[in-house]
Amino acid sequence: MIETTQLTRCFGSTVAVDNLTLSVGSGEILGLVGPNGAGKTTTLRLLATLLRPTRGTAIVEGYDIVREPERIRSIVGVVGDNQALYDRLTIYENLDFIGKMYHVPDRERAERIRELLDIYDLWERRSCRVGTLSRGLRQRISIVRALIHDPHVLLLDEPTANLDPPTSLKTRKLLAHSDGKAIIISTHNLREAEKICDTIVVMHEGRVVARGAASELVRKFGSTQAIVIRVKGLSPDQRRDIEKAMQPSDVAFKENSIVVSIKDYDADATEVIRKMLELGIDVLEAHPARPELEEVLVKIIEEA
Amino acid sequence: MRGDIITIVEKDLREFKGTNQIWIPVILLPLLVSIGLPVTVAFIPSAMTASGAIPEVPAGLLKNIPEEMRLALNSLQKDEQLAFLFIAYYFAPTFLVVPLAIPAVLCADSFAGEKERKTIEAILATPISDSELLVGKMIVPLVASLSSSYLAFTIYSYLTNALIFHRFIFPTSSWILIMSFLVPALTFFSVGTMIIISARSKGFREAQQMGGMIVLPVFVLLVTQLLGIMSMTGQGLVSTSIVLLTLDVLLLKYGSRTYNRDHLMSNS
Repeated sequence: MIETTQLTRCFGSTVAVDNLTLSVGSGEILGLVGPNGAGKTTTLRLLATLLRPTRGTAIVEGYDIVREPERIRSIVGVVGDNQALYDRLTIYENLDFIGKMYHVPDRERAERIRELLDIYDLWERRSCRVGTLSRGLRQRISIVRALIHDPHVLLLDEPTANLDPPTSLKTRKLLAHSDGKAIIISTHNLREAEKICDTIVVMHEGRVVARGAASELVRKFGSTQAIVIRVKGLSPDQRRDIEKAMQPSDVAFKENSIVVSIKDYDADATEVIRKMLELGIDVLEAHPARPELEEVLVKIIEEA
Repeated sequence: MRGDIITIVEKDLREFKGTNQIWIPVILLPLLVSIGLPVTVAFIPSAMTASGAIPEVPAGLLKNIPEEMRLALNSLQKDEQLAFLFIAYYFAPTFLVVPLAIPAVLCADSFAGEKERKTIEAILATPISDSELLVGKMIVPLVASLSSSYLAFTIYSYLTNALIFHRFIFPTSSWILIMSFLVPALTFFSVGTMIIISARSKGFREAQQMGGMIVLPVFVLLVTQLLGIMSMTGQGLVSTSIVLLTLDVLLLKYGSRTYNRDHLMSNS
């Protein structure tokens, strides 16, 4: 469980995190999104007790980040914004070193390393020096490293950056099934945030400018500006007729769908469908074109 | 916890093991000083004269030497005096480059290098305290420097006695003082200074370049010794060591204040 209250961190005159108040329960995944410099990485570093707050407090699993940082570090797993791996050591040596630093007993440590390296298809390469590996493989190791001591809390900065799609999927599944862990993920990958995060917090210039489930944010901030009509099929003549009838609205044809731009879905949708039927188009279904979370995020930040 | 410190030491040793740019100076420098200097004194002076005879000590070199050294020279044969003067007196500051330079190389990699490679973040995320981490990272440079210095001193003494004097004449009491007080004091001085330099520099190269200045006290010693302002014998040595040890305490105190998570992460 993570709870921050007016958490603030300044670097000189720059306020990197400004009065941040948020809460993440056990078993919950919170996504931090926002443009570069929004304060996401600083927030994670504050919670990992790598930085001290200028003002405000945060409690992680009942421990205060200022008064009990060592206790917090022992129950938190961190994937940083850089991979922070020892190039001159092998994969196994890197993981064994960090496992020892988290006081994982010898036998358990060896088993855990084997288990996690197996998940990420790295066991056979355990004796490779990390410096010889690609960024994607290094990213896998940094994820394994964060999980080595089976932490209660995970703070992940762009965890799937550089990963190939199957490994990203594997990671998402692993996180989604990490029962009881409180997880904060900072990401620019909004599709990923949408898929795995229970709550999304949008940060801008150190402040929280919006929060909620992805669907809530889209509903609240995304205006529907088009209608998608699925049809049986269209002849070239029908396409011409539709374009003429819908003027001055923009019309786009995508396989068996027609996308018509409108000003207001509730007010204009019925009229568009009526015109289609008049033109003899076989309408199968119609629904609002759901804006992408990305567009919503841009709008939120522009309005902030 | 002590176990964490040992884990850091093991990891640092493993990292250094495969890095030639670290090990080569750490091995070469002590060998150069411990073998190069006695061999030079054993063979060069006689080769300089046409007859092959060892020259007498030039009067200029004797002008500023302390009384203790003058008495020691008088007890030796004429053809041994020049060699003794260099081995026992004038080379002492040169020898001190070893305890100063080795920690500079190792600390630059261990402190600034780790910051530059961003690997420090991985350790900082673990439960180890700032002070344990500092101690853990100081151990390899300290032990490597002290053991290299004492090993170099043993080789230097053996070659001096075997090649030059053919009897047991070295180390002198001044050298025992140097090895007992000045070498540890200079090693800590080097480590303390490098912690502060590393905290301020962005990477290994910058720290190493700035750390190069750490050997400046050796030149100061050399010049002050040549001018007779300060002598590396008896009381002069003890007082120099005390001043340095006091400076070490201050440097390490200040260094430990700059070596904390917040400072390291804010400046990385």
